[in-house]
Amino acid sequence: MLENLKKHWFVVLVALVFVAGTIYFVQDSVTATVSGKKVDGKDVVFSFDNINYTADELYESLESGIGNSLLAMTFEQLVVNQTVTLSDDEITDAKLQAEDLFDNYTIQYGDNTEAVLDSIMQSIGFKDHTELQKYFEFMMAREKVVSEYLEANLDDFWSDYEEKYSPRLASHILVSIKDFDNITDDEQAKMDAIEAALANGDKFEDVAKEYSDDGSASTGGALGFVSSQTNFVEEFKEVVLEQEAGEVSEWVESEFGFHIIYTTATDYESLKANTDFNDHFIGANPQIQGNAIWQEALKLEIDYKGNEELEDLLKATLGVKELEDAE
Amino acid sequence: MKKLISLLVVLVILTGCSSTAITSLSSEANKDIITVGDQTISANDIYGMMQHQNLSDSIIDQAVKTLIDNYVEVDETIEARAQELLEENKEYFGDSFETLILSQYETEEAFVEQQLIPAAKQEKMTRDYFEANFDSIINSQAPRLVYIIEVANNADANRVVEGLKADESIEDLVEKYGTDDAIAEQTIIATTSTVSDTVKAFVKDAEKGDISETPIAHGSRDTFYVVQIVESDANEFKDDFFAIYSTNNNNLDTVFIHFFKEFDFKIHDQFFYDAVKASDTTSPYLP
Repeated sequence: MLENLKKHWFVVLVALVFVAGTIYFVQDSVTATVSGKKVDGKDVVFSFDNINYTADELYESLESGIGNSLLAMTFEQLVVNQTVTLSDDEITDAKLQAEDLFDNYTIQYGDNTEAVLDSIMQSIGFKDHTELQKYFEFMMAREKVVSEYLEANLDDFWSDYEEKYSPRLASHILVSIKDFDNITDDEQAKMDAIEAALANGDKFEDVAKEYSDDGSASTGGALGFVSSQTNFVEEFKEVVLEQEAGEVSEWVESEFGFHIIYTTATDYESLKANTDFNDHFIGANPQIQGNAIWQEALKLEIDYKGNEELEDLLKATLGVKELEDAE
Repeated sequence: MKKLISLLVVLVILTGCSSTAITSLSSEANKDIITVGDQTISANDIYGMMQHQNLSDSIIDQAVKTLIDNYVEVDETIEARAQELLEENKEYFGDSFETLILSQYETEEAFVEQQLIPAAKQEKMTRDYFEANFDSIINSQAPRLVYIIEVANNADANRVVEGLKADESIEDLVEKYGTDDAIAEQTIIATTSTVSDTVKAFVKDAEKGDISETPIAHGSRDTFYVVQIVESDANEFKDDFFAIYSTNNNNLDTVFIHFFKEFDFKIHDQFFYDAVKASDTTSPYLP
């Protein structure tokens, strides 16, 4: 779990602020106003009787933890914003996404919407709600950077990933069986009709739509992205992972009934449009995102202000890993 | 008079207009961290983002550290206790001590300074609270020194009860009737202990010498407990009880909430205040 969070630190951080930030804001809007305090020209964060703890001290204590994560996040934004140019269509898309998000928040938070979004946006390095479009443009540009890097370096990642996870797209047709010791005439008739339709050359998805008892029937039996980590019953999983692309199984018995399984595709080109696959692939190779950002960063002049450790620290936080070292 | 009214009006306006307390770094701490292309990230940029993270736990942790650091002096007693803790750590971790500890701290001295001295100071503050509030603590937590023997079934439980009444040795009874997990050692049970509620219910009102006549079901396993109260006067096992009391997180919250009030804890940044106030675990620390 922790490893997974580390792999997706950026996405998790952004998702968390958009969810937790709103909860926190709703509660926070009913709290009291506090008075500020300065000592020796420094802002005080908290105090006891005659002891003062300054903003400078708090920053120093948090710098190596959350400070580094926030720095890496801001660094990404600066890199991507300066190296990627979005098309007019993409900018329009970002604008629409921003408007959609604002509208959805307005339904939920009414007059508080701007304040809620301001707080969230500031937590991820943007000025306020007026930069929502900028945020979506950044996310879009970032995705573009990662996907371009991946396309260019696919060979370095694909074969190991393929071997380890057997990624594929699959579909199935299920005939539910109430009692395996007494298969009813209706159940048998349905299985016969499915076999006949497939033998007749009918499309798998049409047969699934017409006959399958599974919820996936409406989408032609599509199960989407499947890997060795997918949580299927073992007998089903074994077949779906063994089959080559285009193969259709015989009847496979599971606790749910009888299935016919169709392995739709196993190649990257077919898989890459699937969001679940992309998340899994990038999650399994966290250096893809880090390397992609770093490759872009190298196009810009970077001044570490004399901090010799900063480059390594940023690379470590972003998950950058030289390809020759990549496992 | 007119002047006074005008002054009051100005004061009211100024008070009304006073901006919300938002902290920022001093010019000394606000250094530029990095420039990427033509854009620079400063320490204050990062600090500003920190204010919008939910840092309630970090704020309270830092406040506890600050309190401990400033209100307990490092004297010979604290140093001696830190050394004791060091020995306990070495004994506990054995050969792994160096690998585990020195991977986080550069030297043993750094471990003592950064980890064990603060721990000894925290223990001292907790002890001060414990001593000052001992009567109310034992009233609410009802600690008892007990033998608690786990047995496999009701019949064995009854045999143990009879054996205890007949003053048979605990070791013999555990060996004859106890489960593999049963031990013949005295332990302290209080209302804060993590044993079953039925055990706690019996112990809470029991007195020295009392034996649980009816076997107590384990709760999560198919076994039973027999409990004998060895001592009900907490003064007789005060130090051992403190060792348990001072490692219970709920107790530590109570202790430090008390000291936060006593030493007039205040937050002077609206963002951090709101975060601490919004969290159930940290809001009790606020005045």
